[in-house]
Amino acid sequence: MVRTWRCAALAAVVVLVAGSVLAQEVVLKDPAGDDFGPGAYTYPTDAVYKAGSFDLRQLKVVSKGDNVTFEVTLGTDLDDPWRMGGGFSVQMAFIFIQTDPAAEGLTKTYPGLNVQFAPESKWQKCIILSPQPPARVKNEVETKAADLLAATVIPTRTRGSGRVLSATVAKADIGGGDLTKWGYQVLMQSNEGFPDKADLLTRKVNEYEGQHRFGGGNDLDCDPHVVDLFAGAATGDKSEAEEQKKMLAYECNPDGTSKSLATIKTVGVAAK
Amino acid sequence: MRHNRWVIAAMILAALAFAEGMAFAEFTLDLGGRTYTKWLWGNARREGSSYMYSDIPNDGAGDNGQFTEIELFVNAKVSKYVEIQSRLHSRFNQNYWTNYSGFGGRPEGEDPCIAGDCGEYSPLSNQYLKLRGMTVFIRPGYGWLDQVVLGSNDMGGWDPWIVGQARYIDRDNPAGIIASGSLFGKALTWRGQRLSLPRLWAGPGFNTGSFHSADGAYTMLLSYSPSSKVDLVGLYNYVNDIEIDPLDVNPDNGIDTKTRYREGVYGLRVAIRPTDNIEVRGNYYHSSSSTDSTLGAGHTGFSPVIYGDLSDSAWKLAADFNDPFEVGLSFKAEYFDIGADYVAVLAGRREVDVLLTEGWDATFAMPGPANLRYAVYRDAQHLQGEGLAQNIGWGGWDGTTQQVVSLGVDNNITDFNEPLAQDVHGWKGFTFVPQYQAGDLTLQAELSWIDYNTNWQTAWGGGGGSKYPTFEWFTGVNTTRPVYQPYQDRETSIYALNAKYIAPLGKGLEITAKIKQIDETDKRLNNPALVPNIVPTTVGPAQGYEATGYAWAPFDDVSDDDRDLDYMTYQIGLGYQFRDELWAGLRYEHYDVELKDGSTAIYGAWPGNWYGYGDQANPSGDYNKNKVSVLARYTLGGAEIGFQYQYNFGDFKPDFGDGFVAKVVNGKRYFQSVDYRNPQPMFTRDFNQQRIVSYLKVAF
Repeated sequence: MVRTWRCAALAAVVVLVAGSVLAQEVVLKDPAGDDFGPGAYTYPTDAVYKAGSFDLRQLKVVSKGDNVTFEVTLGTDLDDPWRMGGGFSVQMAFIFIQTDPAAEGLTKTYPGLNVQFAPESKWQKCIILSPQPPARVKNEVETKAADLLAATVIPTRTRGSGRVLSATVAKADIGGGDLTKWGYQVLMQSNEGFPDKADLLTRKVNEYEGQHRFGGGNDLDCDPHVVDLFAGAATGDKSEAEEQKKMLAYECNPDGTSKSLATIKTVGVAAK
Repeated sequence: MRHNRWVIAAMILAALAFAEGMAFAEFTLDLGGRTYTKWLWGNARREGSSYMYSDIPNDGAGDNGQFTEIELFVNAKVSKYVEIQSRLHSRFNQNYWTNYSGFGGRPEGEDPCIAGDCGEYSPLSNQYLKLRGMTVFIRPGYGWLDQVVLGSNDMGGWDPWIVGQARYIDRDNPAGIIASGSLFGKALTWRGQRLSLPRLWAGPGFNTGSFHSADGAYTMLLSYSPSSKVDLVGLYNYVNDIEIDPLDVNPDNGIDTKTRYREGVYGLRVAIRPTDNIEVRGNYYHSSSSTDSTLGAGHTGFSPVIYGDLSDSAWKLAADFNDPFEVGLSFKAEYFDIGADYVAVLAGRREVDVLLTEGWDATFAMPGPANLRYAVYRDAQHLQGEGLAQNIGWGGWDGTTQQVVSLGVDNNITDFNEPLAQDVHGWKGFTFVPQYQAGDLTLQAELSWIDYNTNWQTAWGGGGGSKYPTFEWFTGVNTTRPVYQPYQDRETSIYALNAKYIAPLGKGLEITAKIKQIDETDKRLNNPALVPNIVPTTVGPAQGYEATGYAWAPFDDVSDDDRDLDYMTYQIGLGYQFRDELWAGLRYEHYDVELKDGSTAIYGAWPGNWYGYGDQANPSGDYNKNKVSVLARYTLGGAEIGFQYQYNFGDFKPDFGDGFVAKVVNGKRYFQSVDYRNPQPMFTRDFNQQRIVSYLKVAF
């Protein structure tokens, strides 16, 4: 009996030690106050869009056992004015991951973001943090971005608490590997329950802000519909705001089509 | 011939203009829509309308039926400069599936249509399609003027303390013109509007008089953000409700007007973020308002504004500290002070929450254990038929209340699972909310202490009883319009602890729990010299009373009307995402409330009851309420189905004190101060309310 207890205690210690040894963590930071997209984006005017709601501050990725937890920290406390049930309503975050720069990957992104990734930053997986039910997000991907479905990971549950959006997914769904060597990018958007027919639950950016539309962009879809993202070394240095402006720079043709699409790079250890 | 030349020239110009527009290739026409189907079931067996609570005359509440509506969105981008958005919506209120598509029915006549019985003859039930909203956006591209919005808007985007949203279903009802622009590279933005004043509610007596078409509100907002660390917002709103001058009988030089109701409110909001994890916010508002009783704005008691010439202010100061010690512990604090005479008739009536406190629970939203409106009016409703009675039942609404600064707070046309708003005029106090987060565990506490600017010992704050709205006074455990009482000395404390945890079981078992305590005292009248000492009516067996004695208790001591509330809530819930498309949950809530309300027993005869206790249902006693909810949400391929079954049960043990004799009816004891008033049972009442609300939404 004593031996049994000893074995059990030893096993518990091994599990704890192994767990702590195997746990991996990545923390990326973004400066405060750069939630202006390419430089001039403004929030919608409705009171639900509080200052800092889309101001990306940090991404924390923690591997524990077979799961990986993603925590996106924003610039203000989360609210659930539309009673979505997960503790937040207005935010939506796309976490792009480059698990292997040498592997096949994607440069295109979801409709409604209006950005592309640079070839050297091609991504393999994207985790979508949305307050919508997972089945609705999945249906949107199936109908509007079917070619990205295999690369999309939709968490069973996305929570908002304090200033943090978080979700846990199976590491196998991302493809495994060493997450400290992955490249990352987080594109901050706003959850739109009534999106444009082609957009994947994203909120429009127009030339002038409206009650539920961002301002400072273009009325058509040649501008990046991204309010904040990581740039530079993702250390949170103020200079990264300028890097962000450069990365989200775009040009429109006179007819409103894109002349030069904003091109995104991943950040992190594996980033190029 | 010359005429034809001009026509040809005009056509060429038009063609060029069209070609110019086509060069931008921006013309688009988008059609979209949404269907919404609702199933209601309840053992109250009401069928007034498709909503479980409504106090709209002739369109009462219902908890049974099946209903379908459709919305069509027609949006067009006409050019780079012009965009149109519109919404068509089929009428929903009484379009029961059992109406057989509105077939048949009866003309409304003198009897109000109810439960869809007018069929095709009433727009409440004939499923006609109505233009709900149309908005034109003009963006001229001038440096100083970004955009002009003409038509419908929901009054959002200003400030809910001054101009805010009403009900979600009313989101297209207001209409006006909004212009906006910016200066100094967007550092300073401005917005101004002329809103047509809603004649149905935005004035004294919930109307704007007989001449309404020129009534308006004028709002100006300036927002200045010199950096991401500082936001400054200034607002001013002017409401002008005018009437035709009754003394101007000469139309030859036009007709003069006079102001029936005027209101000016200014506000200032400041937000400062000295560090990345600290934010300090201040809000200050000041109102000045005036009513003209000669123009139909005399005191009626039923009003979203206060009568007379008055001014007052409201303010709050809040601070957020986000994890300052980097251990997962954050703090929020807020001090608030809302003047009793602060008036903003267009302030948010619902859909917003202006204070940090979670406030009261919505299950005790209406007076009395059955969540009836107060007794005399309930009786009036009964005269029109049970289907029109205005109550939500023993279960009340779900969740906690939203706080609004609106005397016209509006919870009409809701189901029990929708949020409930409560007016907080007069509230002043402090709320402190610590929150701890560690992984999948979140703990949040609240400590609130509330005093009241409506605590006064000069009847109605010295207004002589003539200036304040007097409907739905503070009665029972809680009400949504607990604003003005003749005498008040009230204090409230709220303590709450909320917990959320995702247990590592399967896909993660969501566990929520809550415990909450509310302590409240109201000593009401404190001046012995003002105790009325009205001698109650003596009644006896001849009138059906059990003995000879007083019909109500004497009010001869300042303690006779005291109120003391001990309130506890316990909740636990489980939720699980069974599949991507299916989430289901189970929730249990228990409410243990002990209310000692002396005013129940001093129910005097009207008007001998000189400060109005007789108009209330304020039953003193012990409440033991339980709620069991089964919830589910199923999402598949663009369709969303929601379901909630709720079983509410428990009992109410009346304790009205002594000093009076009970009336006996069918062997049961009732408190009945006067014949015409609804008798209050003095025996234990057992409650059993079951109800279901379910919906199907499909967007296309």
